[in-house]
Amino acid sequence: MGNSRSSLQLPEEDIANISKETGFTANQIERLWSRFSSLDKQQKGHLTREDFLRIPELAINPLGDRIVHAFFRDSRQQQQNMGGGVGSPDPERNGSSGGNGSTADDMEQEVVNFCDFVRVLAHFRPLKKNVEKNKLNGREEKLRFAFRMYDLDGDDKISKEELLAVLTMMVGANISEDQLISIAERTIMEADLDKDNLISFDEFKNVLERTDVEQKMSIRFLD
Amino acid sequence: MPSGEWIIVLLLGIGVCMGSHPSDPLVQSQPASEKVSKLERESTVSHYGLPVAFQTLAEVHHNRSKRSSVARHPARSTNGSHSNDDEHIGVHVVSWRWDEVGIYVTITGFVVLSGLAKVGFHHLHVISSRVPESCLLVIVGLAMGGIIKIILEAAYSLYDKAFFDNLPTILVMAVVGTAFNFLLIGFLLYLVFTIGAMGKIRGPFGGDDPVEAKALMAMFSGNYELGIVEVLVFASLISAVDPVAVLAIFQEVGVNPDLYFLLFGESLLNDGVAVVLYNMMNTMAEIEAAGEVITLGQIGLGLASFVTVACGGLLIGIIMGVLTALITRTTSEVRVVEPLALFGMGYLAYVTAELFHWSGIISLIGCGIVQAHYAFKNISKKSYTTVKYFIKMLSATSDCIIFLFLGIALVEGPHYWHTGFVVWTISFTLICRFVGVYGLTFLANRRRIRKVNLQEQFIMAYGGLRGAVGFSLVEMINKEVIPPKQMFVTTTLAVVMFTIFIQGGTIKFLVNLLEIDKASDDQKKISEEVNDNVMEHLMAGIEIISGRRGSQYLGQLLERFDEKYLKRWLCRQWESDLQRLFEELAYTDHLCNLYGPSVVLESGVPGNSLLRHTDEDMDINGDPMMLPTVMGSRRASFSPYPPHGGNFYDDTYQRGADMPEGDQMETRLVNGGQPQHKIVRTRTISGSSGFFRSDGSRMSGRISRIDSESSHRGSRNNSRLEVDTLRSAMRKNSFNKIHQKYNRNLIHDDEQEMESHLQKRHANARRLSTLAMMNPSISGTHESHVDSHGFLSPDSEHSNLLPTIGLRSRNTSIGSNSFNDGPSNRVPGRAREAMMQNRMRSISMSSDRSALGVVDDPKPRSSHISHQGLDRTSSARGVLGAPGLASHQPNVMGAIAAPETNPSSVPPPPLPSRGNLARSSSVPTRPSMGQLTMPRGHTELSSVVEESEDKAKSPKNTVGLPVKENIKNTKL
Repeated sequence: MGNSRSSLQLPEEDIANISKETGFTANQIERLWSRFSSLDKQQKGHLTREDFLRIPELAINPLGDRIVHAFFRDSRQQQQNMGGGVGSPDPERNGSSGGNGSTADDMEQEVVNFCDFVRVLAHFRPLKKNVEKNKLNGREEKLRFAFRMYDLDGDDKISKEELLAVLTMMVGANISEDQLISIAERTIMEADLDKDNLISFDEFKNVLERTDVEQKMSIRFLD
Repeated sequence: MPSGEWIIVLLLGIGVCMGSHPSDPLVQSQPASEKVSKLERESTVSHYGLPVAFQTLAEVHHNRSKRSSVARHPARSTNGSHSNDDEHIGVHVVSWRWDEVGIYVTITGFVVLSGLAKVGFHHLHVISSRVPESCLLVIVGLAMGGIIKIILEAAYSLYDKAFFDNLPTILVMAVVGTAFNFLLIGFLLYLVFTIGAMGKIRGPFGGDDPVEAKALMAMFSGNYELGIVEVLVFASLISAVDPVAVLAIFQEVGVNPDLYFLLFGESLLNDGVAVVLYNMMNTMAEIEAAGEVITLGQIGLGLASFVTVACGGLLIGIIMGVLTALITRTTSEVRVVEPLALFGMGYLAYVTAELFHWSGIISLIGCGIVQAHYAFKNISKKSYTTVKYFIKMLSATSDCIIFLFLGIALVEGPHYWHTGFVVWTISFTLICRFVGVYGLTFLANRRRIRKVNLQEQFIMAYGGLRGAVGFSLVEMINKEVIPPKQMFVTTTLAVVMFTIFIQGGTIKFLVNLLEIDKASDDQKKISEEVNDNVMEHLMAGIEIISGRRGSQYLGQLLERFDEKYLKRWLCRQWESDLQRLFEELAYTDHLCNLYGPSVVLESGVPGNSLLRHTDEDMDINGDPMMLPTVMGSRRASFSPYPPHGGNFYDDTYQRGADMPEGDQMETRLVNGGQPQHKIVRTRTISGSSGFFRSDGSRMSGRISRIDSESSHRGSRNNSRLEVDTLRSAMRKNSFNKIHQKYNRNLIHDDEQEMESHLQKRHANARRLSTLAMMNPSISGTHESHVDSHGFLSPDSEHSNLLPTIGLRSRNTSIGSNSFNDGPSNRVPGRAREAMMQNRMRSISMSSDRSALGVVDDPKPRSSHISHQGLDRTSSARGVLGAPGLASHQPNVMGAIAAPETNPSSVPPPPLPSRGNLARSSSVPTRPSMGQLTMPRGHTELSSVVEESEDKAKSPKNTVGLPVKENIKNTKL
């Protein structure tokens, strides 16, 4: 949009790399870059939580916090997975934060750079039928993302408390706490196959077997 | 005049009906008024609904005297004018007043007859399962002789998430698609005609009146030149898709909701569009007929009016819908008004829109959707049923009438058959439909995430039947304006017949052949609902972050606005989808637990194994036990240790109170012989410990350890499975199959009946419990029991009922042992006896519970039932059941106890929420909860009582007796 200045700063090879990794087209990446820059008010080259929460619609989204959190957690995880440099598409940008991620494993990463940003959003690209599996936007990855909306403590299990917290955020005002508790209990009971009163990711997948996750967790990115 | 009532009904129906053309049919048959001025139209607004059908009916059944034209329009003529006209001299004891009343009689008789026809089809299963109903109706109509269609009903059922999800596509299909069809068909037909491929059209076009026909003959002695405007009028009415038959098939086959709503929404909305187009073209034809030239400006105006007509109609509809919501918000004390408000406002929406010359149909659709969203949540269940049934009745009848009338028109009217025109029209409608659908879905798919695949596109195109709308519109053509009316009528009939019989007849086959995605018939799980909610919010958030304000964003914005303001203003109280689903699930689980086991036994599905399985289920679920048949079989399984059986319960029961671990072990040892029951018992104990734990007062680490251990043992593993088993058994059962099978003439009947059942049971239980409580002397001496319950002590009063019952039931159980092995699955006498026992137990339970009264809280109560030892459980299981039940079968009212989940779901180390849990479950006086759940306790209990009654077919009055007897026994 009005950000031709910033899109100029995005080198061609970066676009190619990101496109290769995430499957976005060059146009989409440029769009996202301009969005990224507009979110990045001080032109820091990365986004902080505050940058995200400044978006008014996100601030009133009941899950806004979690969504923002997912960006930070996700990018940290991915950097760990990538070992800090493998195929890191944007070396000079990634250098600082990547190092940050690998040195302080337990620490939450405080910033999100453009690669992380795009990578997270890539989860929500619509899935084409004959595209190879294990891409970022595959069913499994989408589900994983949804799962993390619940799993606040990151132990790969959804506990009743975590579920209740999500429920409270979403419908809190309308339903009494007791009812919410019973709904949470029932939800767990439905999913819980191994009877540990926690929903593991596998159980989660199992529950959503019938749901058209590919459709529901996809948005159209503008070209 | 008895028909007076009918007229009111009909008028209401007619008002909500479509097939309206803003020129009064009366005017058409009166040559005097050649042109209809706008003023006149507005003044006759209230008669718009009066469909051509009546006119034609009148033609069929009357001689065409001058008076009959008055009688044709009863709404216009007052009774007074009638009696003045009639030559009534003197007093008549009996007189024939056909002219006056005839029309009412005809119409009423017709309506009733069409209803009867529907009943007939329903019973002729063999035929109706193969041939679409509409075809049957047409066939019947051929033999004998209205046009009402209820949009409101359609609009109400349009209120669905899938509709709103697909709204953009539907709008494109309905508006652009119809306009496209209209233009393409119109111009192609005209083209074909002008190049001469169609053949010559010769006048005259037959008239009903010989004189008229003669005049026409004189007018068009040569070949008739079809004008472009005339062709376009015809094209506008033939482009209206009306797939009633297809939708019925879709419902029956159960296609995915996306496809269903695509077609449904399109057909509904394009009715409106087609009517608007038709009116526009008709006006032009009038202009032309008047000898004026249609200027470009007028065409532009026509296009502009197209937009205003549609938008204006929608606006009025929404306003009316909102007003309805506001009205119903205040009617909690005057429920009678509610259906009236809904219908009245619906009618008003229609009429008001027509008043401004805007589309009444679109207005009605808007009104219906808004009403379904807000007003339906304000009205009482009864009003809802009334509205539903009334609307359903009208629409079903109208459907009948339309198709019957179609059949009649086929034989009645003078036809002008022009093969060329008919053939070309049919082929063009088909081609344009396919081109339109494929082209537009291609466009729509680019913006859709879930693409409409080719098979679905084909079905959509193929399902584009023509029907009532086109027919009613063509009947309204003014012969003065468009001379070849008869040819149009005949052609429309031909097209309708072709599509209904050929396309409609084969579409079921094609749907199956093309393997269209079916809708999942399973009920949505609550976890899926939760996840859907999460995903919606998540996607809205992601959309915002990615900088695109798309559908999710818009949807959420609307939703928020809705939730924040609209619902608050328009609805009395609001419950979320999640809550509703939860209650619904609780409901079905309850039903499954209630009837499932008996179904399993009845159908005797996979023989012994399933029986055994259910047996186990029941031990765990408890609730089903109250069924006599099941009870019999369960008893049988207990019989291996008869002498112990009866007392055993008591033992455990008493021990269960302060149960140290040793005792538990002992219990298990005792049961060691039978693994099934071992599970049950340990679990019961686990329930008890859970109870204590949540109670907060007597938690013991060891017990809780055992608790979790036992839950690992798999008792809970089964619980989910069992409900599923029961549910599937229910589904497979032939009886249920018949009754739950698709039947669009039924509306939520099961729900309604269930509710009244529960209410009855509730009342019964209350009566019984007061009866039991009136005997204060039956206090027992079970200290341990009192101990165990602490604050629950009052209920110990009744605990002494139980030993007797236990003993008795043991006897019975031995007796009914044979049942299991017996060849027949019917309830033998013994089992019935057992059932009687069971009933008594349930009574004692209910009294027990009522003694606890409001003081008791649901959670401890249900877990306390599960825990109070097995004797209690023998009754509790048999009756109330119990842990399993209570947990997946939670409160209908929403406040659920989930006793079983509580204890076992909370692992031994205390968790943060425990506080909450403990609080919510142990604080006895929580007014709202108490009030809410108390009746439920009764309900469940009493449901048992009644259930047993039903099953055993024992007279009702015995219910009371056993209690007294029993109590007396105990006294002695």
